[in-house]
Amino acid sequence: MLGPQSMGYDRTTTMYSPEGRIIQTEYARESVRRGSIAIGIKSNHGVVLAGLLRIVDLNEPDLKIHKISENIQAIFAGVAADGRILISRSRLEAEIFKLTYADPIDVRGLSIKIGDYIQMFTQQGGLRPFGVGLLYGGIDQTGPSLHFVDPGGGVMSCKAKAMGEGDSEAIAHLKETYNEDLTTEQMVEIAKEAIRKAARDAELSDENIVLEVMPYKA
Amino acid sequence: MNNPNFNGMANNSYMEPKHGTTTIALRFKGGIAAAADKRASMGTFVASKKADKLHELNDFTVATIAGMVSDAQYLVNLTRANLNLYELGRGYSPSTKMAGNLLASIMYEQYRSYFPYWVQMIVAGLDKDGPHVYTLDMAGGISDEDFASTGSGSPVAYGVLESQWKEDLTEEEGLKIAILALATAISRDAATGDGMDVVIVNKKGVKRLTAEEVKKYLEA
Repeated sequence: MLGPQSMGYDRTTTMYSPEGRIIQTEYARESVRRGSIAIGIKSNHGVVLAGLLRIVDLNEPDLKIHKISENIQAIFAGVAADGRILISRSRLEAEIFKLTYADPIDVRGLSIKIGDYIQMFTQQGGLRPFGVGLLYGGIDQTGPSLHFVDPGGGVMSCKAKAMGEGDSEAIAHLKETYNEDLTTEQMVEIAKEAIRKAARDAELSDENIVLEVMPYKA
Repeated sequence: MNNPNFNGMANNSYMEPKHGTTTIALRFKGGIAAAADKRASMGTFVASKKADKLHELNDFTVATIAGMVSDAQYLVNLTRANLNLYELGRGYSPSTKMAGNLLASIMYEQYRSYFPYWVQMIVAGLDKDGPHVYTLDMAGGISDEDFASTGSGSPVAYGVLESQWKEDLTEEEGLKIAILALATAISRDAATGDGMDVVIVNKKGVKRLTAEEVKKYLEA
């Protein structure tokens, strides 16, 4: 019996495999798993985003955490070029919303806008799905908000999320330590520890970890 | 105000810009001062007594508006959005010169498609080259001035500015002249009035004067 791969079902997003999977999109999720780890945590006291900077040779590393609007920051893991496109688009969508409604966009609304765009690449012929997972964190009309957008275009609200290389170790640590009343300081410590766990034995200094803290006062 | 003639477009008098307004900006040593009245008029009718004609474009740049309110508000918002995108992408703020020229480009493009934005604007602020006061017309022209005024009361205001402005004014002197010029326009132009908004931009950023502070300058 031939597997779905050898039947060629993995070669396009416009064809399901007989089990009902879109295997190209699953491959795209695999490229997120190859990216450097990115973490988001939300509590009643705010949102924290954190990421691991891979410093290669003498290259100056990219920012890793990107400001989208006055109240929203984003982090992605996966193919850097794909991520850059989505970050630019996120900023544009945020400005268009602001221009239209004179109020800043909410984190969920922005995530769905970008999710819709990403979804298009999983249904239209000749397009490669985005190889990035995105985490949007911010304070909006609903309070602290953290949303994850995956390469299939799925949007999920999260209490805490890790994506990228070593994400299973990081998620295990997040599950162990999470509660809804964490202070921002505690969330920073948890995020750092989760990144260290994800990086396993690699030596990490604070220079390798980027952080963005968005505090919230009810 | 120059009135461009458009081919294929009626040059009716209702298309004349009816900017019953006075706005002023001038540069002093280390910054700019800008002032505008609060009256919005529709012909002889006072449509608003609390119109805001001074807008912050970013931390060190402001714009004053005169002409069609909808066009002006849209242009301010559009410019602000574009300047924000610039800053988000690069991590630093665009200069006053860039803000002015961006707005001029938008206005020029529209002018060239026969339906210009019906506005006259001033973009003023402080950047690394010092203070700038740019005037913009609806054809997309832009020029860097020492001081500028727009709207129906501008000939009156220019009289004061022309006689009072000199190089290397202090912030106090600059503010005083701007407020005096606007107060004069309010006295002698029927379409200008209902009080004033005043801002200064210096190395600390944009500061809007309170009603009390303005009053103090008017009485001095």
